[in-house]
Amino acid sequence: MEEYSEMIMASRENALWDLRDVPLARINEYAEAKQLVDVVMASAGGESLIVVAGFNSAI
Amino acid sequence: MPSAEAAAAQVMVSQYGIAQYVLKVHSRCDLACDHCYVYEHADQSWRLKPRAISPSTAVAAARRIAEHAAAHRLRAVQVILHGGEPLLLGREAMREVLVALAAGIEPVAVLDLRIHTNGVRLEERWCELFGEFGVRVGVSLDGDQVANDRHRRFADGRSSHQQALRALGLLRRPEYQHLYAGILCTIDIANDPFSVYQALIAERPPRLDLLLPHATWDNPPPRSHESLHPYADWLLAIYRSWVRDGCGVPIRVFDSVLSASSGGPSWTEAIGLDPVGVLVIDTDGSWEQADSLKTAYDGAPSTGMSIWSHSADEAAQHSGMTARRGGLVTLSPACQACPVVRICGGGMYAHRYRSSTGFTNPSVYCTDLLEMITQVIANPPEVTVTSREPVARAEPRRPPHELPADTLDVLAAGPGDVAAVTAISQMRLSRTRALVAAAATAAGHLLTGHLLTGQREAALATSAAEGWAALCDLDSSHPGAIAEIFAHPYTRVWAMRCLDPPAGADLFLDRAHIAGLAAAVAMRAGTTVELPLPVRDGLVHVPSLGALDVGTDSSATVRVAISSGRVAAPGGIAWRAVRQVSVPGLRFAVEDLDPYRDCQRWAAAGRLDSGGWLAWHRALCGAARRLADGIPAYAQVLAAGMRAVVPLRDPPAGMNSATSRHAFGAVAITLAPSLAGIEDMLVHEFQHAKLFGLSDFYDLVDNACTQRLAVPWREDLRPVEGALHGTYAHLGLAQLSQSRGAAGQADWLRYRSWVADACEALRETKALTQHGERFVAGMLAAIQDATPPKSEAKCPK
Repeated sequence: MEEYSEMIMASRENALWDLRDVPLARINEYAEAKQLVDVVMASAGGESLIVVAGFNSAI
Repeated sequence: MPSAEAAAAQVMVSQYGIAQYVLKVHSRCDLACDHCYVYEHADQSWRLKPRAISPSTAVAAARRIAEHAAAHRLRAVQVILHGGEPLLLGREAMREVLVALAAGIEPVAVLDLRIHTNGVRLEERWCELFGEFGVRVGVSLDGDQVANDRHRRFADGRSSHQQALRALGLLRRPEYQHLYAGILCTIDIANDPFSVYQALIAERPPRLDLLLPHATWDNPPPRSHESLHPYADWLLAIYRSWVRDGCGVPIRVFDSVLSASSGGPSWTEAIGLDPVGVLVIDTDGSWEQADSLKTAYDGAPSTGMSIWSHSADEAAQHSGMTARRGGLVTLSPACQACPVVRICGGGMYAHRYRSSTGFTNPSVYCTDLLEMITQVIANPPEVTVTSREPVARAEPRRPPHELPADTLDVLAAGPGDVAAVTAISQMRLSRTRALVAAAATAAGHLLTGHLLTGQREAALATSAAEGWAALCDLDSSHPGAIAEIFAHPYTRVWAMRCLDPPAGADLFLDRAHIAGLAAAVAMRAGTTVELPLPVRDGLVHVPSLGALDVGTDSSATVRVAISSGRVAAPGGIAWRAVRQVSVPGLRFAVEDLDPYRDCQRWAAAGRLDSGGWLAWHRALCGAARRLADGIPAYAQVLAAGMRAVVPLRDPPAGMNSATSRHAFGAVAITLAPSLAGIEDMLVHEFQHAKLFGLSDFYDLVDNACTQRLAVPWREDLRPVEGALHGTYAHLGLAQLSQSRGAAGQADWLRYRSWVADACEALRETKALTQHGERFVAGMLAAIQDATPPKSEAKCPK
């Protein structure tokens, strides 16, 4: 579990970049932006991920 | 340049730094090409330069570049070894230069080394040296032998074609293939474009550059009498072949036009409005501007500075450098009024020069650029080219978002705190910015692919393009309003839909929604814009704020004027505002308009009529007051993070509520018959929102685990992440019940038991990560340590 945790944290660190002050027009030039998009899109429909939670939903 | 523009350019330098350097290592050449801008054009400064760079100059250059990269936190810098002909330096001296660059720069930033050569002297030992330092090699070749021999000859008239082909063959060998950067071809319209293209493609280059020969209005390029735009005709002949071939070899000029047309970077100073960020260091250590300026006038590239006395920052502030970073406002009036200016960018700076008016002119290739860009956009390839260019510009490393150290434990205890919710919101903002920009770029490619399919598509494509341009402009002028719109929960949902459209999606309509986002920013900022907004069911939407009834569905778009926080359009009948619930300590929108709000599994209700709104308003105000009075810790985090409640359609029986992972800040609920029921749903759903946010920072569950477990609140087995969410939601309900005193006792006992049992079951799965185990332990402690509700506990009516 320890190894797993470290591995995941490493990848998570790469997906937490602060892009708030990067001009919108140039944000696509940043590798970090692509990583963020990839991470979010991967969470859009993964079978093992809960996308919607709530009463009478997927909890 | 006016001082305000100079100041803006200064900011760009300090923010991004210079990440690309051309290092002249030899100032002479072994060929005598008659089209060479170094020796045959206006600037003759080469005559005064040392033939070869000295080791001490290389060391000093490396020190200046590293100093600048460190100051600007640049992740990577690119150094292009250039000449003259750089291989004339000789291998041993070249090794010294490479050692100096690697030793000086690599401790600070990733060093991307390139060399540009005519190939005449390239042989195995050179390739071995370049392999040792990772130097990628670009070779000049103007096409087939006829084309290449037209200019690229030795001083005695001999052809250099065979030597160039031999060099390219060497770079194709398996052991050196990784060093092959590409081919640079200077256009001559006397050459047959198809023959040139075929000859270049035959060399299997990883990238092809087709370069307009440097020229100015004083020394215009050769033109034919048969066409107003012969260079466009020549390029488009190749473009058609390239598209027919599936665009297998990246050709920068075409990739750049396609990228810039969709709001992406242009990757070259010859196209687009991107700030130019390249500095030249000559063999004597002098800082110079781009080599292309050599075509303008003698001394044009000079800055009067050198690495011995001036930093890269100082060189970058030279007026000639800042003049090239001013963007749209620094272009000639004719350029500013041109429909393709955001793609063209006025063309290469040097090509605008006229001795009487300087550089404030359209490019001497203006007619060619207009025709080429227009035709490329109208006839795009099927393949997407945006991602082909490696990211290697002046990008500072971005710092990561961080949660306060105790956040995981604070959230596990139940309500969390405002700091945690704020950190999650800020992190989500970064992701939404990246998603919106990616969606806008994807939109451009989709739209350029279908521009000619019909008037509706064309109108919606225009809406998307204008919307993106406006959003980019507003981003710099009104960051607060931008942040508000990007924090709107359904902005991210919209962007994700554009990036991964569901079957049957109206792609053009979806992508045009970006104009609505720009309108919403302008409206919040109180500024003035005019934009064509897409029409849906007779409404034009201004997300998070409302929608204007334009009384028609026959138009794809309606041009809307935003000014002083108001919106107006021809035929505009009525403004439907997004309505707010506001009680002391808690304020949120009731979102019954946003076209992307229906993403919570249960169907969203339509626009509430006045009776429906009164019922919802009364119920939500009552529930919000109960929360603020009865359990302020939860009310405070709701106030910090919940931006909207989405009414769901009434189910046949019971109640539904839901939270989307991607719509942080929104909860969707049905109208429960009691205030306590609504209170329950708000607390329950926002627990999901917080946990989704926390999961962005920490993996709590091994998502590869397919194990399912029994949970007390459902009969079916649940995936581990679902069980974790349910446990956390019921922890919130347990604490809410506890706050209700005797009235909540039965619920508290039930929820307490559920949470404790579920925590134990989760622990037994072994599917929790270290952080997941800590989170579950925190929930269990919170529920075990809680005291039963007291009869005198506050129980608001």
